Amino acid sequence: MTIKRTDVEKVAALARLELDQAELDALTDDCGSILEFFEAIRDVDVEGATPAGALEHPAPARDDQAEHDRLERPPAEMAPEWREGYFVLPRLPALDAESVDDDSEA
Amino acid sequence: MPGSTRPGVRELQEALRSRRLRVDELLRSALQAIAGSDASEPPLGAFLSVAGEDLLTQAADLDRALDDGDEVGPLAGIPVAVKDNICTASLPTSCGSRILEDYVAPYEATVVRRLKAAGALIVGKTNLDEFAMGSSTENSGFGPTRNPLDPERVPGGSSGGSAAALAAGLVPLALGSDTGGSVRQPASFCGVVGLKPTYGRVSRYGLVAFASSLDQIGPLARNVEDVAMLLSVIAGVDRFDSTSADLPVPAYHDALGEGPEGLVVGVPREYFPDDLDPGVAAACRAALERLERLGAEVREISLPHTGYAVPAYYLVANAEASSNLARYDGLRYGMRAPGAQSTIAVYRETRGAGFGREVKRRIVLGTYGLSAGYYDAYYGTGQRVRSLIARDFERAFAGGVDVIFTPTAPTVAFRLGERIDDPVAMYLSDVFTVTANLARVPAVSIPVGRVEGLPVGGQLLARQFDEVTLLSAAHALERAVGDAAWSEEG
Repeated sequence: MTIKRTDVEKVAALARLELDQAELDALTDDCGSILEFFEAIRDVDVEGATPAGALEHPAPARDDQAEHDRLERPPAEMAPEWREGYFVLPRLPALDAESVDDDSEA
Repeated sequence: MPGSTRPGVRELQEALRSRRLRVDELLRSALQAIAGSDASEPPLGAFLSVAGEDLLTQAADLDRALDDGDEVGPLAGIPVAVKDNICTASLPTSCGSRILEDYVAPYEATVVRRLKAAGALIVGKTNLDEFAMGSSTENSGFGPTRNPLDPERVPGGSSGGSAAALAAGLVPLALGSDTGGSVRQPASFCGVVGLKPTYGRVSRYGLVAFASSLDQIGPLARNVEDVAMLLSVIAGVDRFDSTSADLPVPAYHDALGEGPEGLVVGVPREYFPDDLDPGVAAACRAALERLERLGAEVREISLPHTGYAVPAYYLVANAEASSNLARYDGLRYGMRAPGAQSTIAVYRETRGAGFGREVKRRIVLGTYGLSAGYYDAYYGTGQRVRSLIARDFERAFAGGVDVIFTPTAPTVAFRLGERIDDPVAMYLSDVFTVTANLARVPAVSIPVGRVEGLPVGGQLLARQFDEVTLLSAAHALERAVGDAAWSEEG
């Protein structure tokens, strides 16, 4: 189990995480030593072991009925702008045609 | 010393009910103590936010009710500190992260609602490792918390702010969260009592998710009775958390026994390795001898998969964390990186600027472990080893032990900065605590002695949902250890 700098770069892209060069170097070293430490788990005989099972005492299912939100204050106070029942966000450049390629690559 | 002389909750309740003490007076004294702890040099750093004027109004209402002899809740007027990853509507919930700086949740956690219904006063939110990821509280985005017993040392983590607030005498009760030891290890380092309940015993609704199959909210206090009292208030099924257990909640504080006669205590040999700190080992052995002298049967047992618990824990926890933290995208919560030129850039730049180093490390490792080609080798293996660890516990309890005793941590509190650049050394701080989370069993840390003035915690574990036996045994251990918890001999 080793991890290369390119692996960290790829995983960071998948996780939508911007890292500078110094962070990439440090994370590659850190993750390498952590994964090396995790190697010990390969010694365990997991033949026949199943992943941890379901809970024995789950909460009972609720009735399938709509309920009021449990909010402490109105939604209009939770975002910079609220209009006609919607949160208003800044228009994202991705909605513009030139950004579509960027999104589809990642 | 902390814990031995400060009033417990029962004494405070009696003083409030007899009107020798007023709620307003108790609250102001807690708020002053909190302010004083951060005005000192170096600052303690236990709190990230502190309640304001509205709490004084609540205190006045409670004083009026007590003056009139009205019925009040079981924690009426008692100041409680809440870890800052538990949602409160009147105070921010930052999770110790810059990405949630100034974020105020639109709803309250079930535990907070229950505390308020019981009359408790939420005095503030306590510091933590960012998103509860760490064992020292050094990973907070807002500066570390220091150990009140030695400010050059860490209070443990991730609930370090809650444990430090108790040890410094700022509050009598606090809530933490425990995913791999985050209540018990800081309790051990600060010389207080900390409980991780059985998974499902306490609702996680409103606890900001780190690793959903492991997370559990737990009480901290300066003695076992107070922990039991706080658990009685917060425990129980919640229709807003489908993993909360549909089981009755006993009045834990009324079920505490007197002595350990007849109690069968299993001591797993894997938790006393040759390289265990000799002072920690001596304090734990001395505590066991005291229990034995008072009539407990101490029996050596084996939990054979213990050595694989830390890797199994981190494989599972990191995978779940990487998924849970995907929601911090710059759109729905907290900060947003300015000037990003595409949707993906908003995500990347916000997360890059908002998360600290340990959180990024865990997101990378967790995402790697869940990626195609690695899922079964990492997450799958972690989950299988987890079930073997749970089976070890089932066999030990089926073999006749009532509780299991171990050290809580392999060392006493370490120095600030000592492990921050060595993640593997930091992860090994959790070596004795992660198993309870993996096996979903309840576990509690109690002070059992001192090494060079620093507290040593002993950990007790019990069967799932058997907090009555666990807390009774803890109460017996607390009484058996007595003042030795504050001495070098243990």
